[in-house]
Amino acid sequence: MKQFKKEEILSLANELQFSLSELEISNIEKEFEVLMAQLSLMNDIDTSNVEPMIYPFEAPIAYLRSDKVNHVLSIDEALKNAPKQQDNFVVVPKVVK
Amino acid sequence: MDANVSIKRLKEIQQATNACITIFDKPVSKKEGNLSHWSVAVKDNFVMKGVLTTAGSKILSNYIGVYDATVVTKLLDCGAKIVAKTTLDELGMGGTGLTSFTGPVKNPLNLNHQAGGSSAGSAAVMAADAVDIALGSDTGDSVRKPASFCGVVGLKPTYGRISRYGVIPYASSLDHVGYFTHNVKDAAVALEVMTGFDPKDPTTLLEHLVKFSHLLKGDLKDKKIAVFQNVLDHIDDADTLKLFNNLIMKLENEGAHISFVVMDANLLKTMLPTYYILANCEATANHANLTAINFGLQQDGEDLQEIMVNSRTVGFNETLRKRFVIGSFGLKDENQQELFVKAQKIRRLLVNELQEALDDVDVIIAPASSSVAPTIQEDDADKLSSKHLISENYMVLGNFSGYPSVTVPMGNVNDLPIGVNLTAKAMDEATLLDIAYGFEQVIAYKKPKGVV
Repeated sequence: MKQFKKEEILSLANELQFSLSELEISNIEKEFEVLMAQLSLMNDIDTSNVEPMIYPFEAPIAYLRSDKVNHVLSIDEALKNAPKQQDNFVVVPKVVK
Repeated sequence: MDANVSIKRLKEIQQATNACITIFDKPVSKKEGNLSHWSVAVKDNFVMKGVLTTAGSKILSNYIGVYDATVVTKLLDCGAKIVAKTTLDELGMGGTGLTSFTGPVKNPLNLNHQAGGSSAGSAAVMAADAVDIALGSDTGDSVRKPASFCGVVGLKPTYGRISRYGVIPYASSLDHVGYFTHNVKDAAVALEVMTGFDPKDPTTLLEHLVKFSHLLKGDLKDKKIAVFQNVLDHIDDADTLKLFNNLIMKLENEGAHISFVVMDANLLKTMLPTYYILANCEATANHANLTAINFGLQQDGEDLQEIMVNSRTVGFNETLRKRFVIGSFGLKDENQQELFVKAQKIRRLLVNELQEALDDVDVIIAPASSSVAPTIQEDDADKLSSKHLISENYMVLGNFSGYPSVTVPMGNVNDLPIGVNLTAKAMDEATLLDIAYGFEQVIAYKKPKGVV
């Protein structure tokens, strides 16, 4: 069974770009025990020669539209929800210091 | 119903139920049409132009839509009047209706109880008779379970039947647009209006839906109905079983052919963990764009990363961050085969079982929940029990398979409703709703009066 150590939880949270409090980490550890017990049920199922199911239907649903520009947001609309903006750009703190 | 009456009613129940995130002062409408008499509530994960669209999440608590979701456009084009945006579990990721950043939703039929989730507010405004139809989304059972708890009809059509353009996603391979109505006929009318291929959503079906609402007969004679026995086996609530057994008796009296289907119990026990892995892995990827840089509620920070970290820490509740950690764990290179891909394989086996069970019958049915709505405080489920793993969560099969599935009210226990769920073959909404219409006639359900 997979283990889920505090360091790994912190590393995942770091990759996911958020923090967790000590209490939250301990809650995740507790929940993970239950989850692992549930997931172990999956190991009892023989899935050899079974193709993963990615979407509900096998029928091809992808299509090619004609190569014309359609359905674009205006710059005003695209920037409408940006917290900070200037001259049609989203403003962020200086990246290269 | 008159849209202004609807708005008045929504305001009247808001304080007690917290069913809405936005109630419009004036109905939003575009033109008159055959749905001009319909007041519509929209779950707050459907984008509407110029309207606050939060998905129940603090990180989107200032987000104003810049376009209309396709389904919103379709309803407005038919004359419908939109009166409110309803409360949901944060980003649709929950089944209680308790986790929106605006606070918990309470069931208007009994304020000590949940309305269910994630489409909690939509179910609640229907239970309070405040609107004619309420849009929801259904990734696990997020329309069909709250419909059971609120005594209304809740439909999740075939995957791809209704465009998801403009719906803030949860897990793309499982997400469906669904909705609540007061009766099956309205559900059929609404489906005809909302269905159709949408070039903005390449997952929509190319097949046309034949207009069928005027063809609903509800004649149950010789209809082949399979009872999902595994679900019944783990329900211990005598009242639920009594209501369901009464229903079976009535169906037999109407001339329906009842059979009992038993699926592989070990396989069924994996439904919930399979769902949990697939849904959280997909959600983790889908919500990586919520950084509060281009849009969303931004927190202060010294640099770009600190802004993101602070915004996402404050912007998502603990439950969501926990789910993202688990989703990310399932997607890591070293775990992907054992967790994510394994879950995708089990999904196929489960769908094969359902397909086989539906081979010789028209629908498969079971109680939509093992008992009435839980109380607001209740969380005492034994997470490893068959009751929890099978009876409480079997409706995810409808999302794994994409098959159409509807909950209709079955009866009341202590003035709280409980529904029965029916699932049919892919694309076969006509049979599903015809039989559901028949159920409606034989059940002759009366919703409790409610307390607000």
